[in-house]
Amino acid sequence: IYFFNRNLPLLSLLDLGTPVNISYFWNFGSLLGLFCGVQIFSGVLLSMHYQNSIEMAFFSVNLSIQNEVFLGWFFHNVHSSGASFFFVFLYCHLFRGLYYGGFNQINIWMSGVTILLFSMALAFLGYVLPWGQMSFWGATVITNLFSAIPYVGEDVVHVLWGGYGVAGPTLNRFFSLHFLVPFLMVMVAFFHVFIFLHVKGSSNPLGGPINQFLKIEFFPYFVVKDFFGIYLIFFVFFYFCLLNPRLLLDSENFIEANSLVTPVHIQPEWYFLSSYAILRSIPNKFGGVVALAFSVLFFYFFPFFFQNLYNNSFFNNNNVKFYFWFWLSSAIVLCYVGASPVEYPWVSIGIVFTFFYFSGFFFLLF
Amino acid sequence: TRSRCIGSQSRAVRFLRKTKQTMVHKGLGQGMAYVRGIIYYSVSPNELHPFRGLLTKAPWNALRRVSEEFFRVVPPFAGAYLIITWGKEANEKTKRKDPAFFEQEAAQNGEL
Repeated sequence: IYFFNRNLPLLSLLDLGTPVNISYFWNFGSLLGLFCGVQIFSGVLLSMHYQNSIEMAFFSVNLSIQNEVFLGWFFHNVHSSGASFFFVFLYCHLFRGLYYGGFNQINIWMSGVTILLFSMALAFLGYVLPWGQMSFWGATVITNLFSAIPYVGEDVVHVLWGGYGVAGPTLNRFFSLHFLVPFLMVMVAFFHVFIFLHVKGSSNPLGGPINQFLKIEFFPYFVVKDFFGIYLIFFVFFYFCLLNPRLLLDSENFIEANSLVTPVHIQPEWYFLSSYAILRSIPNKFGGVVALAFSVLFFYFFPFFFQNLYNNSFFNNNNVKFYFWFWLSSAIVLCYVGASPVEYPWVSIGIVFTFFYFSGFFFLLF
Repeated sequence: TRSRCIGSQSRAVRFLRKTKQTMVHKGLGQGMAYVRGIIYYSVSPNELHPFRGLLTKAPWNALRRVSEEFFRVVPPFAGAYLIITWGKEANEKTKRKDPAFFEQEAAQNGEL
């Protein structure tokens, strides 16, 4: 009883010892939790009006929800912009963990990378639902990647599709999975925060033994700081929701899906562009798929290979700092390459920067 | 009423007292053994000076912190910007005719 009384989520948010010196980079966790709730709430509201048949999906989103449902336009904008904001916070949270050696806490890191994978799957499934051109062709490209699996690839793809191509059954099962996966993700997030993180508490920018001594209660200091961060972010978020909702969207997705017309530039949303560039940079199909998977899965290996880099040597480890920024700038260049057509010089730049993207990992490894 | 010395109480009574204290849950941080060796810091609201040194010390401190990290952070992003800019120009050039190819023709036509 004592254990549960002290560790109920609300109580742990009141008196959890939190390092005094954590910066605003530690706000992204609470922002992620908030936006997860925002996405689930807006998503449930949208699902009440969305129709997941290929005849009605496009019109239910772009005609019914946008024009006829009360505040449908608002919740649609919240959901689509919220996904982009969720990924902004996800990447900032991840990069904060990379820079400050957060992967030393293995349970937290592994559950966090799992949440990242769930989020990426969720975003892909959700992007198919409006059934626009980019939805259909993006689903076609990405599901076809599974055919690169030796021996069973084709069968796996047919199971994913529910047929012999992206069609009605595919949309149906993607909608079901898009509804289910957030709740699985919330379960993992619960473990990430309330089971794993609240054992030792947050890390801090200085790292190491200071973490164990200079702590203050979470309430009211960091509750206020989190609310302040939310307040600031909402200015930017409502700019996207209310004034410029199409900024991050692809105009191709406002055309209904047509399996006979291939868009000129098939590209995913911005948060997948770097992985997409890595996929396209490898000439071999199976190699591209492996590189794509490894570009995200290699985060799982960080706690096992890089623990010695951060233990009490953060200030002296200039190599680590430089390669972090080098790796980050490579990822940004790859984002631009992913959005560009497969022409000179983007092909060569993509190959070179794919090498740079992975080289930091292997350099620090050896 | 004063309780008997703890050593004279039965094991069952001692267990019940301890459990009862836990289950009553007197409040946050209450009902548990006093832990020694922890230092509690607190700051009075009258001691908070959030903007002290904002104009006299903060700019120099910011300059110091930026200068320490400048050559680790800026070169990769500067390189990325230059490569993207060059890539855009090179890609545009592939979509345009090269004037050098047509210099002779233009000279023959009297355009030069």
